[in-house]
Amino acid sequence: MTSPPKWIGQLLAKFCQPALWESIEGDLHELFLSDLNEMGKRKAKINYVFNAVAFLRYHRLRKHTKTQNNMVLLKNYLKVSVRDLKRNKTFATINLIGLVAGMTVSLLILQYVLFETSFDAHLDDSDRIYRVINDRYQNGELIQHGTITYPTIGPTMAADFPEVEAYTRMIPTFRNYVTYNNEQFLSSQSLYADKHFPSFFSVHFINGLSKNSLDGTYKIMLTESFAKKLIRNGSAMGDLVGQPIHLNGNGPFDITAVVKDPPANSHLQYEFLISYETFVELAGEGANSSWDWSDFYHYIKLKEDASMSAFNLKLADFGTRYFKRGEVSGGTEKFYLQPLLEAHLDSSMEYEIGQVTDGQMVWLMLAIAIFIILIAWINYINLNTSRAIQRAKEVGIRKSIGAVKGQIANQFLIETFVLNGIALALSILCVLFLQPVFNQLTGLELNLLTLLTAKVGVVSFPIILFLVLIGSLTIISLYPAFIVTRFSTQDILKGSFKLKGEIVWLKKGLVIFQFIIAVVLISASIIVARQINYMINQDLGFDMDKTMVLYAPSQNDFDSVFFNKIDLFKQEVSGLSGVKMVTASNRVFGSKMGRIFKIKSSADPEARNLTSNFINTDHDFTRLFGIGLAAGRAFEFTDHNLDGDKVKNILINESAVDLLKFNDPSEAVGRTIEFWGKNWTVVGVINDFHQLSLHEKIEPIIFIPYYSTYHGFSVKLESEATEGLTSAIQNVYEETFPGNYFDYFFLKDRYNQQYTEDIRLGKISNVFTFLSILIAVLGLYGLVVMTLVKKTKEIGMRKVLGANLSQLLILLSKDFLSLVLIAIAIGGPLSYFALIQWKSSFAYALDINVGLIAAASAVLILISILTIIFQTRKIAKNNPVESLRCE
Amino acid sequence: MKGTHLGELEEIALLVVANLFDNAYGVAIKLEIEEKCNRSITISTVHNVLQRLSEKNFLESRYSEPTNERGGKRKLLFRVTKSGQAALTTSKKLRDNLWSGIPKIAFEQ
Repeated sequence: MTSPPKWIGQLLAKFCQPALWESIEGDLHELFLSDLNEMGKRKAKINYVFNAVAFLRYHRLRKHTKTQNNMVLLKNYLKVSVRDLKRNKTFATINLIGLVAGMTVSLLILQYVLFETSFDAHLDDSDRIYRVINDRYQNGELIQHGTITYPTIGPTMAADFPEVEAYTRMIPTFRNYVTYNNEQFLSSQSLYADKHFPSFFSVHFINGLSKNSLDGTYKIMLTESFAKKLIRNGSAMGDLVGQPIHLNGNGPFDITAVVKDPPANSHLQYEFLISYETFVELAGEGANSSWDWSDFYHYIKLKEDASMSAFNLKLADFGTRYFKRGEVSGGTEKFYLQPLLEAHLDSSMEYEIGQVTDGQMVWLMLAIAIFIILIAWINYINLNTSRAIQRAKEVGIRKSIGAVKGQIANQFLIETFVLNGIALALSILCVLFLQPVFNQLTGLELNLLTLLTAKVGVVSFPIILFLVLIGSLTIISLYPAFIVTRFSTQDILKGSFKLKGEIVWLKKGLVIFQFIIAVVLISASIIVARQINYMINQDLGFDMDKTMVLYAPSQNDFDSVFFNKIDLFKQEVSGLSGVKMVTASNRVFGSKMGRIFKIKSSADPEARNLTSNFINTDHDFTRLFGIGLAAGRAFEFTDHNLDGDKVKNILINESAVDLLKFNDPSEAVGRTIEFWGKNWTVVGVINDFHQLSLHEKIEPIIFIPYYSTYHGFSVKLESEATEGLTSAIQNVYEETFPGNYFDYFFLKDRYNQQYTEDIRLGKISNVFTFLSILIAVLGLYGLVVMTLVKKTKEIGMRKVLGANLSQLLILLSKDFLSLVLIAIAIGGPLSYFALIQWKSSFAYALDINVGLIAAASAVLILISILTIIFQTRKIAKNNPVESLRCE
Repeated sequence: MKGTHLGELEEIALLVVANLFDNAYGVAIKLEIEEKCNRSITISTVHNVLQRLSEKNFLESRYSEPTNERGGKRKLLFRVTKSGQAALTTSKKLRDNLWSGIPKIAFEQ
């Protein structure tokens, strides 16, 4: 027979008046039985709990063992707590500063961590959505790791594996010119997506069709924010549906729907969605059925009972079956799934289309935040323990007039909650004040609401935070209470008691722990700063100073006058005063280049498939960027040809020389390699340079002298850009390429954006370092003060007996300094190994300099000595008469 | 001694206890109130009001013999005391008085 949940009864029995309990329990049981008949087991149990809990509302029914006396005591505790805080202002301030700093930082970091870990959790079935990862191997080596893959993958998986419930495929598109009602708009980021996309990614419709919105060619769905840009006074968003719209001169497209913007914590961001079939129509049937067009992305939803690991095992065979170890695409293809919920925290994928961040960084932040609050609480424990001993008399008196252990503990609990409550309130104020600075640092729109609305799993975050707070506060307040209550009342009142050895060691251990963290953080921030400095000032092998990059005039016909147009533009801009030179290329440095997978070199007897980056440039490119030649010649105008088939000369970099098995640069010149179905002649070899940040290795690059409408212009200036010069360039651009937006960036800024995360880490670690030193030093200071108060008499006596100031200083500092030294002995090696780990994320990094860690430690020792001396001197210089008199 | 004033719920509970005579315990009172007054009430509220009335000496209580149907727990049975009865009578008189004083015309509209 079903019985009511027992635990709640047991709990309630503790609170209810014993005389009434039996009747209450009986009544609850009776109601439970009748509920059981009417509504079934589950509902009856729930009702039972609700009914039971409801009893707690009525104080009349609750137990009153300590009766009114409790309130009086509580008031007394509060009064004593407040008085005590007032009397010991130093102590209270030290504790408060530490706690406020720790809590403020933790609250801010928690916002960041909760936001970064909340990505895509809002989607329906988010736990069953995966993205397809495609790793490519050639000759046993991993040549590409990413989500970019062939258009056939999603549909084939869906057909081959019954576990696949749904899939969607897409390809991103950037800088699209949208024409609506004779007005032109520029969109930065969108997707060509198949018809499964809207339901797959829980797209929320505002106006228009929800089914078949992306079915067929020339269909487009606008997001709310983009739709708002298009509508003019008087018309509503809904009016857009069914209207024609043009994209880059193609169309008309049919607006089938207006949908909600993807939330900020969505991995995929877009301004509109274009039907995938349009892409197939524009790019060719290969976008639908090719096994070697490799620019597509797939997401898969597995059925509820399917497991990812089992599915991944099956995929091992899938790669071999369709790609036959390199015959099809030039590489051995391996496929596996990654849960969408992990996608945002994985920044390792090449050619990423989603918003990603370094997950390790997020967890590191969380760990540091936890450490900072721990240090603050350790201070609290340490100071409180010392003080508890000073206040032992108060405890002794309480005990002798009949306080039991629990009541002594209550006193400490209340003090802790009062002080931490004040600290929490102050830190919330600090958070409100610091939020703009923090948001600028993270580049995110965060606020305290992020904390309130967040969820961890299914549990609301505020509840977790509350429980953690209560738990931690209880622990940190019970520790001093526990120590004091252990002494016998008599000993306390007589004043003849001493701290036990284990307690002293624990106290020292806590101080050591704090300083270990401080050492690690100081070393880290110095070394991170040095690495950032190194990366930004490193000679990259090309010159990106004062280089303005103009976006490609893509609204342009590739016709017989195209070359002349480009040349005319280059000449006119070069002619402007203040401009040195202009070049056109399909990419600039600092972003990933495209890749060629099936290269065969005439120098490789085994004729293997090889992979290299490529870039399309005009003949001025290497000269403008000051890239040196290792052998042969640079491009000349005659290397270009309007007919792409007739272009056959290429440049390669030194890394490509190695890849293609040429012995040295001069040997490569004049030799041929094969890709894209024809032979190419190497006319020159250029020096290696850092095409990407120093996180990345220098890779092989092939330069091809193609011209296309997707070439942007790099403009080298004589000096910093002036407004006059920019508008002069804009005039030429708009005259030569009507219908195109003039927009530019500076190459140096764009290139250094690759270091945004590193610079952020640097800034954050500075803040953390400052805080950890502040809190640790405050703690040390507090301990020194407490110890000296106890030693006042001893100092007086020593002085009377002839000790001088320096002897006293050494005597008093020695204990504390040894703690700091132990911390450094542990923290130093620890930071060394941590930083070695960090260094491995860079392809090019400075060695970790042990001297710097030593310097960091020295700084810490110096700060500690100053702290100790600052306080010790005061006491040591006192007139011994006063010290001896003090009681 | 608390005041002798009767609240609305208190009055109902007192009347229900009198009605149920000898079988006036928590669940029975709850069901009776729900049925007769057509309102829902939680068992904890019933216990609370019974306790309040006991404190005012309007109710007295004793435990019944153990029963089988409620997990072997005894019922706490209530009975209206003399002063409870007096309070009910006073309350009724007060109301009757007020009713009889209403001029006929007041309700004719």
